[in-house]
Amino acid sequence: MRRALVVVSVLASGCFLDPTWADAFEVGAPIGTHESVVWPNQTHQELIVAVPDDERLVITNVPVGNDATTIQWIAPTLDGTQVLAMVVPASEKIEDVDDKLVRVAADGRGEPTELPMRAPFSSLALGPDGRRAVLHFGSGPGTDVLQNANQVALVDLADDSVRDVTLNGFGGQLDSVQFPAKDGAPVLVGGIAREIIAFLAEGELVLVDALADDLDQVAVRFFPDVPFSPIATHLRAGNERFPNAALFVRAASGTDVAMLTLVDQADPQTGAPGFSAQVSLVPVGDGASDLLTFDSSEAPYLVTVFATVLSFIDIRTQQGFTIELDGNASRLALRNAETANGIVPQLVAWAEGGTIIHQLDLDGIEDALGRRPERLTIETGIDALVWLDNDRVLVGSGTVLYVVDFPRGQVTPLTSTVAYDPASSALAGDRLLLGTPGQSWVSVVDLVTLDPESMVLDRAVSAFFHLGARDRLAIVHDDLSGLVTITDDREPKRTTSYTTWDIFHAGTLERR
Amino acid sequence: MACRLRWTLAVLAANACASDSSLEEVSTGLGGSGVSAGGGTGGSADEGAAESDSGNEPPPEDEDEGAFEVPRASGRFVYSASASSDSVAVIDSSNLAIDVVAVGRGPTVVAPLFDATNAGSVAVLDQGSNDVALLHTGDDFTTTVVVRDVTAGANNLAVTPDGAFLFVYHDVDGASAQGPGSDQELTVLDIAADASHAMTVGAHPREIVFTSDSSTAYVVTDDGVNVIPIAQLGMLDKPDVIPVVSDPAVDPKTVEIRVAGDRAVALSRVDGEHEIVATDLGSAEQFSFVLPDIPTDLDLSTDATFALLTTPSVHGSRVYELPLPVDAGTEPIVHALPTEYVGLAQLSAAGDAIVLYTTVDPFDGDQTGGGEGTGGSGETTTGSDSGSSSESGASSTSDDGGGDTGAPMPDPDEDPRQRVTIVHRGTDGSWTDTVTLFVDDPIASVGIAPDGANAMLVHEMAALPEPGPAWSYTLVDLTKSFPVKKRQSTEVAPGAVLFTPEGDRAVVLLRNDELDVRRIDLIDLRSFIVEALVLGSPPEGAGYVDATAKLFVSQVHPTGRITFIDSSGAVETVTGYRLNDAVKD
Repeated sequence: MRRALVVVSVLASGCFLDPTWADAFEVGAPIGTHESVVWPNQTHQELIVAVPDDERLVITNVPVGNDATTIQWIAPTLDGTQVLAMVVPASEKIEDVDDKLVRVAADGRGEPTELPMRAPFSSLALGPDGRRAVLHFGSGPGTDVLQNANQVALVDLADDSVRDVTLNGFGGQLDSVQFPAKDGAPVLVGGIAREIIAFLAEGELVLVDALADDLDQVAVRFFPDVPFSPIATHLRAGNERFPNAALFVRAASGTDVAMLTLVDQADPQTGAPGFSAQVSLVPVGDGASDLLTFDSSEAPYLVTVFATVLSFIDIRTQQGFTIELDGNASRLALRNAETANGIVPQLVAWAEGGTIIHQLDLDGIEDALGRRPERLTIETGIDALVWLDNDRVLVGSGTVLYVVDFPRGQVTPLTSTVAYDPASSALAGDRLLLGTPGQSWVSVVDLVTLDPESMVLDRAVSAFFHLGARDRLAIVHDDLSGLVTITDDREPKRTTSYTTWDIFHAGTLERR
Repeated sequence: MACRLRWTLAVLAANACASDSSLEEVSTGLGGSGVSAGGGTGGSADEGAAESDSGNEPPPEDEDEGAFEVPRASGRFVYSASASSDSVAVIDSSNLAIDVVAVGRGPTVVAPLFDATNAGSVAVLDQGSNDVALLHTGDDFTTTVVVRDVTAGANNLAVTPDGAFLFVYHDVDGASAQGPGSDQELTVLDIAADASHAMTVGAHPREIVFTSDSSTAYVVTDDGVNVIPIAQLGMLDKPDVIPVVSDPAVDPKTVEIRVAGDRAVALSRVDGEHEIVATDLGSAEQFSFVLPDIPTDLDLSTDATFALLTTPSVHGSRVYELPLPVDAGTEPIVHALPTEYVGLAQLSAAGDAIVLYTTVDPFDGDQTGGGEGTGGSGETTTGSDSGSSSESGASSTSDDGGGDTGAPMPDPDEDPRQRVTIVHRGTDGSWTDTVTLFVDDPIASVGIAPDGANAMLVHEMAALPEPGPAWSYTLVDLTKSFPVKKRQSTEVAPGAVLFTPEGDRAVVLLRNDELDVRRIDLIDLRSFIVEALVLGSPPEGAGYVDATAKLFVSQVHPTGRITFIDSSGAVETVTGYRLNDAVKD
């Protein structure tokens, strides 16, 4: 019925813009890949893929469903080479259509790959290396009918294998899925490589070894013994200072960080190889807003920050020391700093809402009693901080965007008329690309010379994507028919840019 | 093996000076001058006693047994029971690895079992399910559990020295009260033979003492002492109760009983009574010693070769040493402290040092006895009337059966709780190097390190606190003829104290939740240097792991927290180990 209405509308409208006609197209928010902008077209159950060529936008409509389905969500893979679309029955009354994950090449070419799913998963988590995708119900139920909230699907995007599993926890409902290894690399547990995925729920978590054929699980319950709601994880691989891999879990509140030491443990019934976790709570003072691990020459440390206190805790002994900061901090990062003693690890601490970026050299930190962190002050406050590379960060502060260069101790303000949106920026080599929604221009900042260049647009930015594989910027404007400006990502100019309108209707006649 | 200090409280009153002259050693003849022995009580002795302290009954002392439930160690492992999760956390003190094993319901008491290897073996009393879990942890850190049913309502465990038999009973002084039923049922588990023996003992058991060869157990009850030969366990159902006081109708709450297992002797003292009864637990024969003074403390030497009876008096105190075993001819040796008021004694493990003190001030109007009892001040009697003199080198004296030691009276203007007398005792029982010291604050309790080299005096809160910490403890070097002492002040009342078996270290728990004080003092007993260690949670108990020479301090934490301190002072903490029970593989 819906398809028939669309056809009638298209025939009636011809090729001129008619909002009433355009309304008939139910198109969702776009995503960006490394070479395209992609919209989900619910009306036609297809993906609209727009790939910039030198002078025009190539539009491809990729069918992913039919009039019995709906596109639940779409997402790009981490490397931007593919688009994932969750397609589910349009109604609970439809019984002969299965849930499926459709994988489409970023340029829309080739045949989509369909992976059958057992449930209409509402959320997607991607591993840091881009290979692993976990579909789950962390964002709530996918439909109104009864669902197993702890059912998840592990998808290997390299070989398209799908493994369904129900988390064997303690009854808590899944909140989020995290890949605690930053690089996604497996860790050794008892000499066996294990790829740990953490499933966080209220008062508990479940660890799954994605490399194990049987998806070996370990569930750890905190509640009601301790009010501990996991919100963040960090996996430390074993080394000579602390041989076991250890997962650190931070809670929304509380004075402890959970340390789960991963140990080799065979299944007591079958004797099959497996792993387990030894749980301990590491006291971290008044709390931990953020954490990371760091090995000094003497000890393996858990480093936490809360308010104005940095805590260094030897994970072997739970003993440590604290360092006071001059101002509040809630976030931590490690970088390498070049000093007179060579390259040394440096801790960077800041707080969104704070005014100071603290830098603390960590070489010989145990013996550096009285060492004070260096400070860079952002008088107008830190709204957002985005790392560009080891040496530079962007700090949004109201309508000012600061480029902070740590080696030079340089803070360069770039003024604007609207607040900086870190989600609408990208880094291409030494160029910072900015296309903040609401603005009518896009900018490129040469981070070497700190020289900004801007290009004025005819319409305000709605969404901004850097299509790295095409060396282009795509600026999506609000328009019912689809309006996109494409410009060069190195030197955006009006003379070298072009705008394409009516993207959503491209191919409509062919479709009929 | 954890060494838990048994505290005694005492206070002394007098000057800050050391006083060798305050002691006189007295030997009294049987029945002749205030002490009687044998089946009856010497009339003259009773008379003398009545004469000496009539109307001056010393107030009872406050002797703190210092009992507390903490995780226990066996081998290199520490075992912590969690009644809320029906599990026991096993912590390898060498690397802080954790394992949690399920046991019965409501595990509470953990008792180490002797194990000749480095492995760990403990018994865990599951009070909720009336069973005992026997845990054995191998060198590979795997723990096996065997559960045995035991008598209902038990709240304590006692293990024979050889670790072969486990006594499960209700301790009237235990943490949990007796519910419906009886506290007289006792179960003995033969661990190796997988057998159990149930029996009924006297009313309200409070202690079980074993002979060092594990051949006999003595159950101390309000009715008397049950003698349980281990070899006859299979034949015992209601072992005979041997009365250990001369009047079985006396209120048991007023009776102090000490059992010398290897001597098969029970000694008893009744509050306010002059009489000491020694009972041969083999023959049930009793020997009564009626002292001229009223003892407020009864102590046994570790090797059970003698007992000490401390008799305080405002006319001067005496300490009676009763050689063991006793017979009709046994004569106590009397040591007089004519210028001191002491009501409690603390003996070193080797019996070569004695710390005498009191926890009461008899000169305080609120205390029994009152200051009026000093009317005899200045009345002095010297010389021995009978019996052998001591070989301590000190002058030998004896009283005439009266309470007056014949020396200058304790000064009523001084608080005797601020005086401590230290005595060195020779192998022949002689006292030498007796010295009395003044301490700043009243003494609350005293402990002596296992090697006997040092003592710790824990003080009451300062009466008139000056600016600064109001609490303190004093370390005293017992090896010197004139002891070196060090006062260590604390912001809160010192809690439990633990000495290492070697006597080289000690920890003092310091906790005040309102003031957010949660720390321990780590004491080097060789140098008396004290290092404060702030803990993540309030300390609740301490223990020691022999195998790794680590002290451990358990803390109040919903998921368990233990801090380990090794011999170098390095600190390690493990927290949340009880959560391991909530790990599902």
